[in-house]
Order: sequence, then structure tokens, then C-alpha cells
Amino acid sequence: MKDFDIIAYIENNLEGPELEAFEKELQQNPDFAREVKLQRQLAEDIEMQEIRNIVSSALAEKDNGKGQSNGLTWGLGALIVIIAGLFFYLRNQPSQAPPETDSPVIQEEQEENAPVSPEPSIIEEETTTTPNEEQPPKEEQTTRPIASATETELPPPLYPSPNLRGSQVENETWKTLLDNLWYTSYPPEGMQFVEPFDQVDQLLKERNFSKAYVRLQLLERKIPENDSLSYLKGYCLLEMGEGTEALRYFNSIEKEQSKWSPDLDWYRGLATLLTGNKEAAVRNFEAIRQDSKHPFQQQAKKAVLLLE
Amino acid sequence: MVDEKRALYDALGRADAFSIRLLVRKISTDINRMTTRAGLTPEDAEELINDAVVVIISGIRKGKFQFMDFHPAAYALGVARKLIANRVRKNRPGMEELDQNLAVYSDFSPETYLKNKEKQVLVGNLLDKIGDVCRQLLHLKFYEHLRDSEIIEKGLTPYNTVGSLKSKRSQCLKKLAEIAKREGIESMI
Repeated sequence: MKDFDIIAYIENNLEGPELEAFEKELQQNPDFAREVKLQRQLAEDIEMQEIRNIVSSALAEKDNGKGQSNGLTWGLGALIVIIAGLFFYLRNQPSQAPPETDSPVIQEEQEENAPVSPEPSIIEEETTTTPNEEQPPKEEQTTRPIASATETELPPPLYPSPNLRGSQVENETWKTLLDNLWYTSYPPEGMQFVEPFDQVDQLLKERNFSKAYVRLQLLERKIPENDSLSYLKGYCLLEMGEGTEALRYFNSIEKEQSKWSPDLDWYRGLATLLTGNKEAAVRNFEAIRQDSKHPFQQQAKKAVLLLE
Repeated sequence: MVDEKRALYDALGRADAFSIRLLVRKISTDINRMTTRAGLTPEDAEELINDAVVVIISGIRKGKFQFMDFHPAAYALGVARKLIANRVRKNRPGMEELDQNLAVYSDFSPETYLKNKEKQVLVGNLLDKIGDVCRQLLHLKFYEHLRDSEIIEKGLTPYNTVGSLKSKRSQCLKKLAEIAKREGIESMI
């Protein structure tokens, strides 16, 4: 029997005499027809199974990326350290108001209980926010890192960290830790993003990260290799809790601008922390801590203290 | 707004990990609510979410799900409702209410999907038996849909010519087919 190219036939890449010969063989040879049918089906099954694997990996990555990889032990250990850290912190901060109604746990419960219509138009409304979005900053707090501040003067972060999925106990512990370290701000000090980033810039200022992300996706198709875009996308992903993806964008920046650099150092640490790689995150924070001129030095000190 | 939905639609077609997670975020609350109402377990809900996303991605890739200004989440919820209804019918024959008012993706058949899913999982296991190179060759062809010249240009396999690449890939698919026959999967097709 002639050696036919079954894959080319399955992919509709045969034509002319080759196609005619193939179809003739199909009609005359039932075994060959069965083999072609089987291979065609397998090709389709491979694609579907690969999609299924990718969906599972994407969702697993999300769960792992939230820092649960080290398990309950690490979570409980972190809780003890946080409680100790907070105790000393609050003892030195008598006038500091404790975090209040924007507790992440309460927020998540509210979201779970909120009635959601399955109508497409309303779903679209839903898509415009994620749990970490559009929350007003707490009053009377500074928005930028304070290079001159001593450790005890460091105010808590302005915004909570992104919400987490997964085991409730571990999540709450991990979330508390992240909330204590989530020193992020936008835009980077002294930076202005102009055309074509003006819309994204505005959305990020409004903390509308889902919408900003979609805009950035559109821009990325037009300007795939652009450091401003990589920075903005990395920041956006970070605020959405996507540590691995955020790191990928931060690391793709070819030429760091001096105005971004300190923020990038710190954000890389936070993104690494989101991926669950505590040791690597500590290394990032340690490097910042040892740089006395780094504007995030105090935050890094706090991070190292809480993580170690 | 259309552009934004379109961007998400396109990214899902590429099975972009972040877009998958974004879609899951959009649909999880609704699906959890529907499954609870249908008396299903949280594990069922998780599986249904995964299945709905798989159906949407494959639908986009195969052109079965055309972009018509609906948010992909609306389609995913339509699929999930059908899957839930199918499961409820199995558990409690006569229950039909979840099938009503499906605005989108009405040609989706849960029965066919679930039957194929079982087979696809088995095929996925068979892929582990044909070796890494074969698996990669089939992945690049049937999942990535890359052109042979592109595969060679990017050095994605050990093969340097289109001829050697095609020949090896044919052998790999044939090998997979032989194993499938041996394992009785052919009878499921």
C-alpha cells in the first residue's frame, strides 16, 4: 500500500492528484478508512486534552501562586510572626488607627453574597472590577515610600493586597501577611504616562485593574515590545494577584528608567512573594534593605522581619 | 467595550492563562450559586467551571463560538447551565428548569461533551506512553497549529527539515493510534 500522508489529509492540506488518490484509497480500503478516522479523532482529542491541561494548569498556578505552596505549617508560622510583629508595631504606634471595614475577608463575603444576574449585560458590569479595585485609600496616610522614616514610623499600606483563592485558613494567614506588605502606589513618583497609555493610566489611577488589563492587552497587540507597557502590565497584574505573570513582564523590561527602578525592585519582591517563593522574595527584600538609599528600605526591613 | 470583549475573546482562543483565570473569576460566583441550588457539591462546581472554560476555549478555536458582542462569560454560563441541567436530570429525572432561557451557545450538547471528555482523558494518558519528542510534535501540530517551517525555524524539535519532521510526526500519530487500538479506545470513537 502506498504511504499516504494522513495528517496532511486531516488538516485539509492535500489537493489535486494526491487528494484524489487518497480519497480513492479511502473508498476502496475499509481498514485504511478506519485508520484515518481514528487518527483524525485522536488529533481532535489531543487538542481538547491539551486545552483541558492548560485550563487546569492556569487555575492551579493561580492557587499555587497565592503562596500556599509551603502549606499550613508556613501559614501558621507566618501568623505567629505577624502577630508578634503587629504587637511590637502597634505598641510603638499608639495613635495609629487599626485597619477597619475594608477587611479582605469581609469584602469577599460581601461579594459572595451579592446577587449576580446571569444576563450578559450585567456580567459585563461585573467584569469591570476585581476585589482589589477601586477601594478608597485610608485617610491621612502617605502614598509613597518614606526613605527617611524609621521602621516604627512606617504606616500600614494604603490598599489591601489582592484577594486569594484556596484553603480558607491558609488564605487568611497569607492574606494578612500580604496586606501588611502591600506597599504599592500608582503612578510611580514623578512619572506621567501619555499617549497611547493615557486611558490605561487613568484606569490604573482609578484602580480599575480588569479594565486596565484589557486595554493593555489591546495595546500589546499594537506595540508588543515596549518597556512602559511592560511596566504598566506588570503592575496591573501584580495588583490583580498574578505574581508569575507580573514577574514575567517586570523581567522583560530592557532598560529600566531610574524613576521606575525602586518601585520595580519592590514590586519584583511582592510578585515573587505572590508566587509562593518565600526564599526568593526574602532575597529580593534583603537586597533592598541593605541599600540605605533605597526608598523602599523601610518596607523591605518590615518584609524581612515578617518573613523571617 | 466591544474591543475589550474582543480582546478577551482572542486571548481565550490562545488559551492565555491569565484570561482563563479572568473568565473563571467572572463565572465562579454564578456557577457556585447554580450548583448549590441544584443540590450539587463544591467539587461538582469546580469541575463544571473547568468544563465550561474548556468548552468556550475549544469553541473559539474551532470557530463554533463566533464573537457576537457577548461577553465570553455569558457563553460560559450558558454552557455551565446545560452541564448542570444534564447532571440534575441524571440525578433526578424530570428536572428541566435549568435548561430554559439559554440565550447563547444553544447547539452545545452536554452528553456529547461528557462522552468525548472521558475518551480525551484516556487519550491524554496515552500521550504519556509515546515519549516526549512525539508528544511535543503532536502538540505543536494539533494544539499550536504551527506551520512546519515555523517549527523548524524556531528549533522547537530535534528535526531540521520539513521532511524529517513530517515523517516522524506521522510515525508518532500512528504509534498513538496503535496504542489506542490496543487499549480499546478505538471502540469509543
